[in-house]
Amino acid sequence: MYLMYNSMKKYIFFSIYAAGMMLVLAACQKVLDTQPYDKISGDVVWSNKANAETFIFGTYGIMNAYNSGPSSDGRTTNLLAMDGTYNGSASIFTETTDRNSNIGGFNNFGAIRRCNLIITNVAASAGIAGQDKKALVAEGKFLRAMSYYNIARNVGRIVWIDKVLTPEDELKLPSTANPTESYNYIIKDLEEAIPDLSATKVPGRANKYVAAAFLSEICLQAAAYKNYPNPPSPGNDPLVDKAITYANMVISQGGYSLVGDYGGMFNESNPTSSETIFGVYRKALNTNCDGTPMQTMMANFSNDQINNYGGSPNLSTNFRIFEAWIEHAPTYNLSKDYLVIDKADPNKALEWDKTSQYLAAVDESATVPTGDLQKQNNESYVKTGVIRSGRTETMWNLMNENRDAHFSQTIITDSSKFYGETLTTCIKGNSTRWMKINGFAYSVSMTNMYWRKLMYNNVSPRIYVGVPTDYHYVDMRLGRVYLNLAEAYLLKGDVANALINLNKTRVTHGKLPPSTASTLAEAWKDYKRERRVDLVLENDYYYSLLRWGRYGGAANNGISPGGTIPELTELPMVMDISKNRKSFSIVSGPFYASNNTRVFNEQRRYLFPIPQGLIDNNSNFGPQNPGW
Amino acid sequence: MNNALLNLDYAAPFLKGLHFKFNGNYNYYASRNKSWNVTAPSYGNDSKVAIPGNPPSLGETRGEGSEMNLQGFITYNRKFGDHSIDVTGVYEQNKLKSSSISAARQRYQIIFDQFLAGPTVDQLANGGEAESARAGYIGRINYNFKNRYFIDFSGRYDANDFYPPNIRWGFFPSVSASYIISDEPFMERLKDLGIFNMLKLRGSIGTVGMTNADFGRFAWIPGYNINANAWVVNGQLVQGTSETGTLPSQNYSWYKVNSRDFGIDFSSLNNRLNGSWDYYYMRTIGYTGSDNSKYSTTLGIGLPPINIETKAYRRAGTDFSLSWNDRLGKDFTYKIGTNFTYFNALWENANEDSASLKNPYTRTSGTSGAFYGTGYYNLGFYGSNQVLLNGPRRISSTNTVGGDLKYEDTNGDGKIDGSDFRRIGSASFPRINFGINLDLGYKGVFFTSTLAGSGKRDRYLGDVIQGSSAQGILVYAFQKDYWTPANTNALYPRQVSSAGVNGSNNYVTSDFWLLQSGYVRLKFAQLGYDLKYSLLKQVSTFKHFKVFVSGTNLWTSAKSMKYFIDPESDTNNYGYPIQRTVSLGLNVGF
Repeated sequence: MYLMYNSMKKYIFFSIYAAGMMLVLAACQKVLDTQPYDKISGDVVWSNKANAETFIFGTYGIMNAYNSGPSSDGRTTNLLAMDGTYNGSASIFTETTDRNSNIGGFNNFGAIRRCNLIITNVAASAGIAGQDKKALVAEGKFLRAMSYYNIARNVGRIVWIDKVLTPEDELKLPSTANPTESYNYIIKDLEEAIPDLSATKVPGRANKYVAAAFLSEICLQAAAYKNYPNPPSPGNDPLVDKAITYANMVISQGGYSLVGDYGGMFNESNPTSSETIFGVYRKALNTNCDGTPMQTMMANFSNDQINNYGGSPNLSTNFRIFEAWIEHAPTYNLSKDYLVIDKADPNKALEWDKTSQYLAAVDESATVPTGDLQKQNNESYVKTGVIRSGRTETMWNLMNENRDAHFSQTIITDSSKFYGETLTTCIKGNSTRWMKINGFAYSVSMTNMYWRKLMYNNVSPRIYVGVPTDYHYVDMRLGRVYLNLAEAYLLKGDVANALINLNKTRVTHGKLPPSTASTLAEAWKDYKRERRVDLVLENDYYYSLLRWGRYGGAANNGISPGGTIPELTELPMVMDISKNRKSFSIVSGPFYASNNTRVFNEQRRYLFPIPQGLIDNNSNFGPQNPGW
Repeated sequence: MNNALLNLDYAAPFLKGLHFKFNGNYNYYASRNKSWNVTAPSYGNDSKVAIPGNPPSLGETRGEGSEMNLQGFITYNRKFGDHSIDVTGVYEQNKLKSSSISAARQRYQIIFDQFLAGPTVDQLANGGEAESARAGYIGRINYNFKNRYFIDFSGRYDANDFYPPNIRWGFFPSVSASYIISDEPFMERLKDLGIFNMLKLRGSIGTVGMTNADFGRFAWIPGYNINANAWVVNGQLVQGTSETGTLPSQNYSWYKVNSRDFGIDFSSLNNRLNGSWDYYYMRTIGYTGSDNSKYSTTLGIGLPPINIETKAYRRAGTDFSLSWNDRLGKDFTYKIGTNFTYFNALWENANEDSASLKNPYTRTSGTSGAFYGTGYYNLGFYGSNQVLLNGPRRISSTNTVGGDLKYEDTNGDGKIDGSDFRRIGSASFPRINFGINLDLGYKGVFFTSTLAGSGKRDRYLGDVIQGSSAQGILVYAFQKDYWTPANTNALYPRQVSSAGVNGSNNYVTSDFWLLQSGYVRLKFAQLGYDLKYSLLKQVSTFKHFKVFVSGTNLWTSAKSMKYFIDPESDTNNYGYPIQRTVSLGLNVGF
């Protein structure tokens, strides 16, 4: 019995072991059944309205192309830039881009795929009600049109895709032949979307009037680029009538109204103003100052640096309140366009150096007392002036009194208050450009002026890298729609209606006497100036200049359509003021790198190239834009 | 943290040498990480007022996970006379699970490191779970005869849950063999003559399976990602969803590296001369990923991942080492050795897009990998402003004058732009490496040294040394040697206050700024004396008593010293410098 048990033992052990191995082997297939915990199924996303909306919210990033901020203004003389902002636009204004450049983002295919997914999947979804379906599909079409519009206004041609592509489809798609074809698709998408979009105004989300407002501008852009590269004929173009229709739709049905406090629309006081039609909003939870345009508009200097330079007054805050990374500042070229009400005739508003009070106070031929003003070796005088002896005015009076209300809301000039400090930018001031030139502080403005527009005044404790702050961008507002309407009337030659509309912002925002231009040429001048000062830093001036260049004639200083654009070839200028505020000089020069190289080649510059690398991989994108 | 191990070993009685083993390992961890961030107040020079810093925040993460690893072995090991055999079979499976949760509160006013003291405004929470698994069968048979002929077969049959369910398994075999030819009877004479004390030939060939995780796990399951804070609607942050980076695919699996190696080891002249030589060749094929040679730009999403059969990468190389050690007289010993490695790599087909593939001057496919990168060929400085009027110029440059760099219009189209890029320089990873060792001994004195060096290699000069950095230009004294009409034979082109002045003409990628970094270095040298040899001979407490002086990096020769940069240190002179050290030491053995 015992013997048998012994010999059994080894077989018992063996079978227990074998059984264990079998179990392990059987488990082997199941062990590899793993699953992800960080994905949700596509069916869930498209199954009901709330879920589908999350996909739409993830697509709204397309609208960031229209945000306020320096962006395309760097290509004009609205601002003078250095470092990163200079590098971003120098190749454009020095006319040294080549066919390999990608300006305007021709390859928006990821964004278009998202829009097409919205349009297709919402329409096919069983869980979304009919009326909701229409509204969401309309939102998808709106976003698709907006994604293409940014490319159309830069490059002119797009690759129109209106369905969700699969790898089995033909992927070497063609681009549109000319800007007109591109705009036809864009305008069609927006016109189809408008009836179905909601009329309720939700900040951060599109509605009927957002689409209509953008349409008023897109139609003008489309009219300008008809027949490219040949001149357009906007006078009898139905697109201009469309622009008028949609602008009126926003004005009469939208329920928006112009604000009296212009600057408040762009900072913390009024982010959801009655005038804002579409804004992009950000929360402090995931936004720091260095993620906003404020970081590159705020200076960086301390009392030590002021004292070393010999400037005054000292800052009063007991910590370093200004410590950001300024890269750009407004130029004298821009500030010239802020008119001043003439003291002798309060119904007239003139450029500051043409008013009766200026002409009485300033002698432009007088020699500046030695030591009052300076200029660098590579700068040249454009103008100097000395206040006549016996006059009580100072530069401060002449520059600021009775001026366009836009001016103080947009620009910080000499002796203005900001964050509780007084900034003086005269010679021997505390934030003058001479601190930078003489090596005492690197990050101060090169123009003796700073931006106030778009700056929040309540960032605590200061605007500084890593400090969280709410922020918002204004992409479209009622004032812009009025200006679009004015331009449409000017194109039709209707001066009276044009004046009514351009005077809306001039009177409500600028608090200036209305324009009384009598001829088309004068009306264009007043309109262009009003658009420049109302829409500065809102990603508009560069594209407007190109539109006006395409129209030609009264719209572009009498030059024939498609010609050169003087505003893009003028040199940037800076104004210095003496310490006693009794004399000033205006100089032009390189200031930084090649800022004084401003070239515009009208043979090709009205549209940027399709990046050649994309054409090399797919010849159907070609041919390349003319001149590249 | 819990760890459980279970080992079972059963020696089968019915067959001598046969063992069954089982290993089980269960590992459980729980982690807790609490991070309380308060910045100490900082002050400017002579200031008594604190500079405002970021307010305090508290974050805590708790995670837990487990790993279960099971292995079953069958091993058989036996010697029959001159034959010896060793067989192993293994099955292994492994499963990992983990989960975590984290929370944070920000902008504390009360300085107290608990959550209840923090404001609820902008409080954050996050969490996640994950699991992964793999399994495999491994087999190995090892046979040798007379300890002279060896052969080894092995194979793996592996599965990884990274791949779609029906094509997870991959089979990877390999074979290796070696032959100690000096043990053969016909080599007896050579052995006695001391020509070959030992001569061994060896070789191997095999396949290894590889996993490429670039496109993320579970790319075979279609699904959408979620972003908690995608947009702000009506003053509130809202969620957004998106597709994953590539379309899903059920069609990708292991990719393989096929390699083979051949080598010889020998020793001769009474084991005074020793050496070995190897040659190897590896070819990686079938990379997993999206196929770039298919046009898909307009698709708006990546193509589904597959095994790209044509994408292949080759590496081959050879190395040898040789050493000689001998004795002169009774007291003087010496040993000198050298080793040398050479290799190169080649992308047979790098799966580039069609436009990149069509440019034979800059493409990666079909080209030896021994170049640094692509850039302009430089032709020195423009001698004067007049010279600029003749010949092509770089179209993105502005305000170029004498003293700026001139580049070659390699494609002859009359302008200098990106199409003139060509391959420049030698790869940073040197193709050749070598070393020489020397050991000397005389009575109690000993000396060792190592010389190491590389063949041609290039790196690219950093922006601070180039003089183009926004952080500061002209930092070092030697940077003052820039071009001026009085100093035309300078180290640097004409200096500009910022790159934008001439459209970055001097700072684009070209062979002018290549830093030749091939080097020879006396890496280590040590000279010492063992006092036990003479003075302490009778003292029995010490087994040896060595005093020595040694140094590292005593001498370096490299062309990069032109810019005062060590060939192995950072190209911008950031980072801790390579040091030359000399030390004195005492080594005592009891």
